[in-house]
Amino acid sequence: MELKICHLYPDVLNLYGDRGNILCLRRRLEWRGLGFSLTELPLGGGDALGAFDLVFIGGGQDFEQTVLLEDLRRGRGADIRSAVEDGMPFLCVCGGYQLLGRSYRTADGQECPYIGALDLYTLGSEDRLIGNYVFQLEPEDGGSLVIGFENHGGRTYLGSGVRPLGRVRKGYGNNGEDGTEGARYKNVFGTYSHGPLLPKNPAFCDRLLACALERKYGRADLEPLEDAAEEAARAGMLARLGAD
Amino acid sequence: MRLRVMLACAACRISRFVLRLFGRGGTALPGKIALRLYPGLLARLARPVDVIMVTGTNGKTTTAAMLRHMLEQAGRPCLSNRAGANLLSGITAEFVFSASLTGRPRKKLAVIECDEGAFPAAAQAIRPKAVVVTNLFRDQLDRYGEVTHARRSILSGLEKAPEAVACLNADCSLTATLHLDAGNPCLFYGLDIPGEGEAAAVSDAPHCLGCGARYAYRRHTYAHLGDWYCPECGRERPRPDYSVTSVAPAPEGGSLVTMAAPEGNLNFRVALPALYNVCNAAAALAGAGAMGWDLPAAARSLESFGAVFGRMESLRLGDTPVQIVLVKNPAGCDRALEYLASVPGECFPVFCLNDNLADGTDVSWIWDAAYESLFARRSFSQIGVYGTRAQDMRLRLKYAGADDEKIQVFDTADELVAAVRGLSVPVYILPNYTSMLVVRDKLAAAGGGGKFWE
Ligand SMILES: [Zn+2]
Repeated sequence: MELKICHLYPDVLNLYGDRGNILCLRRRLEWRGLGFSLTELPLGGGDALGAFDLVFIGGGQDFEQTVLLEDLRRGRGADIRSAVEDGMPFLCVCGGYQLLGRSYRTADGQECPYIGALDLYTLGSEDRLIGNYVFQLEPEDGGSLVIGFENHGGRTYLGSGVRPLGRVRKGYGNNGEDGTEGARYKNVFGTYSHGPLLPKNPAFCDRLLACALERKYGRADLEPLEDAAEEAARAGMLARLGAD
Repeated sequence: MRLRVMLACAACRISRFVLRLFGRGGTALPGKIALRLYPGLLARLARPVDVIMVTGTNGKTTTAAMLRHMLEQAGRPCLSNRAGANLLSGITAEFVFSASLTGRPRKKLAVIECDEGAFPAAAQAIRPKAVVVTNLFRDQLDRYGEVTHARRSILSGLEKAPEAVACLNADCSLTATLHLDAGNPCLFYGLDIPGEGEAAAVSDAPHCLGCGARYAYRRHTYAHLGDWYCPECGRERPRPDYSVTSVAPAPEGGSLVTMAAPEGNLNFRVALPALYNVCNAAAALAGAGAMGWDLPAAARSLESFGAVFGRMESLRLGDTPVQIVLVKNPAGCDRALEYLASVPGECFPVFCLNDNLADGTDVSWIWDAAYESLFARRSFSQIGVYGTRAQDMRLRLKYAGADDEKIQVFDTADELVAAVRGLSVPVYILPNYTSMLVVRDKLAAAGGGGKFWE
């Protein structure tokens, strides 16, 4: 068994250790003797997303978002929407998460339409929500605690068409107000957690892998792995944040 | 006015004296007190001094130390901020301490290392004669936002000191293109050597700031540095005025360097190892040229230039040789890892990671550094990790290919020093900023050596 993973826009959306997420997916497949291949699709990259088994989109800088929006309008936006509807597993972090929503309104009131694959929108703000944080996945995704680092000016609000990925235990999450973090829709997992997200949250990583394997092979029997280092790193941060 | 200057200077001195009495060196408080009493103090004290400033992400401490060393070798006294006191308060304090009680400068020359974020205010007050910009990399993201913010900050500083000669790294597109935006007179330095370097997996500057197209490269040095150009709008690396044309390993250590400069060709040895120190040397020589110093003498002095505090430092604990290499971002870390991979024979590497405010509380940059390439090239029978995020470092090393069972987690610096003592193999410590301060302090206490603010 093998998963073909696509890293979309690694040339523009690559802040904050996104590479760690790819590395984690890769190792947790390899350690189980499962195959892994990575395709990086930069701006202007031709392949359609339907050829892959899991798509990762990371976070980015302001300047680069403009370059990106043009590329999305030239067809990638529609490609993402149809892959999402088709049940393609997506992990989208921070800027990549916002991008899948309907729109982004900047702090000075400029309205910027995004691709609308997810029923959510984001309002920009000057003061950023920064820090280590913890949220709990919804029961259908295993209910585990996820430890991350958030750093976002945007406040994201969910529409009725999506569910939250989890509930904030410590920190801010989507907007610092309603206690939600991230978004779930079909096989899309959107979150503000970068830093990177997966290495310290092996259960969440395995949930993603299972999602992709089930879709491709109809079954996913992931052997348990030795996670002592992961557990130690989790325990330390959970204790520090008082979420243990 | 004179009275305010004297009062502010006196308060600065007294507060430093009191802090040291309680054993606390290197704090920002004395400078802060002085600026609170007289906000114009730095401008006033710096006015009669010829200042060269050094800013940028990586290498500014080493480059500033090289400039200071050039002056010391020439017998010209200068004032300079040391030990990472590179924010406005620390710089102000340095000017106070080297002035007379009435605020008259006792030195005519200054070499000032300045943090990118503090650069606009510091440059406006100091009005330097020259500014060396080393490079721009992602660093401490949650402090200043993004690399483009750091660039904006440097640009704003240059605009506030329009007469300053900007010495820019031609190989760094983010730095070199400052000449298109700033009105300052500009000089360029860079490496024109055939490179076996390769692009980083993640570039900090993939796109042209002019038109947004993707940069192409005729040659890579490392990370996003190299002979870059924009295939769309034609922006390209400026031709360096100070151009390193050859680099070879020197038998006595370090590199033998040839440089073409407006003052003529220079042949010299850079005593510090590694190519990035050749970049630092080129930056320092461009700065020396902009200041009008004796360039051949400046180049010769690099042969006797040793490591500066923490950046790369050798010491001994009993019979055990210990090297400390400061790492604080992926590009700098990759250089250090390359160096570690090239160490022959058995050694004990220790990776230290703190997430205090001065380090940046976001430690995710460790996932962008190429630890994989270290473990692909060599293995270790034992590995140490230490710091407030030691467990995150352990996890990073595990995913990079290290054997988790060989990783020893030190909960305290005392445990680390105890483990190092008596080892028969050399120890290489790669800490970030505040973990370096702690480890260095403990090592000094265990084996002698000065405290860092002296
Ligand atoms: Zn261009």
